[in-house]
Amino acid sequence: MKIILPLAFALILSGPALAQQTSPQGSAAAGSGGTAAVGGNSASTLGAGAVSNSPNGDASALGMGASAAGDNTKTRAGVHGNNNLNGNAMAMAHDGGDMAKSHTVCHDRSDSVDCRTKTMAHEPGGPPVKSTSQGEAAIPQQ
Amino acid sequence: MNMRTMKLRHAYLLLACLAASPALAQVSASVTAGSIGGTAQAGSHTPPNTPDDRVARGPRTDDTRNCDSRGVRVQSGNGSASASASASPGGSSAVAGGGSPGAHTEFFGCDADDKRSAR
Repeated sequence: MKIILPLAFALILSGPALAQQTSPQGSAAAGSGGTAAVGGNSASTLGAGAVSNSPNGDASALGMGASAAGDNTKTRAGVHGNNNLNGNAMAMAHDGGDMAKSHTVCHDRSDSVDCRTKTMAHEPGGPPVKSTSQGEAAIPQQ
Repeated sequence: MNMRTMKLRHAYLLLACLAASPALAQVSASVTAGSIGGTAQAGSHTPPNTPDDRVARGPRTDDTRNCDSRGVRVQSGNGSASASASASPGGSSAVAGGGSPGAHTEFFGCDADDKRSAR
């Protein structure tokens, strides 16, 4: 008997945004991630971003990651942009029947960070198990 | 209202102002999903590394079964924002990082040396 363990797991940790009361300055950090697993296949993606506006200058940073395990796997991650950063991470694993997939998209803007992760685990003959998670944080407008 | 109550109120106001000061404010986010993890911090003022990369792209699709974990770390030029992502050995993994102009992006793990790029 084939044991199938569909699993969709997502985590969101977002940091609060803080800002100075007299100027539009502050910091924000957020991220999201998720894992999908079915049979012997698993796929995980995540993204974490930070933005900081201070008298020393504006700054942002974004990190993305993807990991997959199984018979056939595919992973991809990328970050594009300069001041406004856009990140993508994708992971997929399948064995011809079961399939696990995860996808994270992050937007690191001048005053906010937003990350979303969608996961999906599917086995033949059954409905797909989907999950969505989101982490976002913004510097309050003055 | 007596003098003791006024002094206490002033003390609380001072503490509230210090807590809201961006110079001291630091926020962070940590994410873990399966065999990968990531963190992001903003508001800190750690000394930055030498800026050399503006945007760097990580490995596309690589097998990490026979090498160490793979990761990326990004730190802004003024050190006030940073982000990282890392994947444990095994299976296939990819990481990518980027930052605002002047940011330093560093890859470590598999194919770290030949995957650095600057734009």
